[in-house]
Amino acid sequence: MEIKVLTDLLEANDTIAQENHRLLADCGVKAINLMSSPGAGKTALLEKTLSVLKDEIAMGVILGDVSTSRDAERLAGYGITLLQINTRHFGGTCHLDANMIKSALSHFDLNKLDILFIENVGNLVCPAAINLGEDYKVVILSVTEGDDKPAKYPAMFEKADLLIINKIDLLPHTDCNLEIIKKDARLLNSRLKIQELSARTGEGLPQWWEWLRSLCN
Amino acid sequence: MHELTIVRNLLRIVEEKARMHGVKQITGIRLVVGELNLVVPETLHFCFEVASRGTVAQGATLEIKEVPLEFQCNNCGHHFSLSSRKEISSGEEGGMGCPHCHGQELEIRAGRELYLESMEGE
Repeated sequence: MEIKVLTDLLEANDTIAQENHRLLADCGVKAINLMSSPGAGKTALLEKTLSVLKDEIAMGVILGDVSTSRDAERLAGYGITLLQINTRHFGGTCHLDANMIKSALSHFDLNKLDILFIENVGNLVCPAAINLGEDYKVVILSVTEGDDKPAKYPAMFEKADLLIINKIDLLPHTDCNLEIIKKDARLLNSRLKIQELSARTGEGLPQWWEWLRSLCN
Repeated sequence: MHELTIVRNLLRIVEEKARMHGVKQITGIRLVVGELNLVVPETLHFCFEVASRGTVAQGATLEIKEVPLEFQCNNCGHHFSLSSRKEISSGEEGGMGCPHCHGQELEIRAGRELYLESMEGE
């Protein structure tokens, strides 16, 4: 017999993502899914963010990596709740999924949080398709990765709410054309906000602080 | 590989449908996969073959209908597909956005699909 199904293949994940989103919203928490290639600066940006805003905004962090707790070690010492998820326990997936986040949320006192950062596994492909229940998708692209990445990875840039172009202090040492990045990223996503900064030197970070503050109002 | 996540979800769906309809053995599965998802069909086949062992879907033929990316220009309404992505990049090779009017606002009209269309069984 033939059975017509017409079911989205990620429906199971999306259902859990919606539950996560409802729980977070009920507790007044804004969740940010932070995505990028490995080494683009997700953890460096979070380090600076925790250091500067910890007394102003109540933050929590979920860290996703295939293995090691190195990111958690870097972010320890700021007095905030951190949870490291190692996806090798789930088969070594190259992205976080809604089910992992659902388990993770029980580790946080959500009523006390303003913002929950979810640092995804370094990957410009898969995380774009896998909803976690977040409010915002933030993509970080560093200038050393090249200006052809928005054209090569349309799904990630099309779905982003904010694009952070990081490592602008290294621009003189690369052939990266920022105008190409911005044009190509906006081609499929005209509402995309873009910030240029350096998590390392601090240049451009005030716009990131302002954006985070605006989420808490 | 998110092919494995997709296959795990697929198996959950087909097992439930098989139960609902009293199907003891699934013989065929038809998927629609849009290009935007960057799913590799060969990898999907491989993951399915491995993950379906011991389930009601073991041995089923997996048919994948691929849907290419299609864009519409918000400026002039021109519809177009791509043979390669660099045609829409504003890089030095040219191809400044819409190939018709060089408009800088495009929308994806096809290629997002990722669903199980139908299944067959006995």
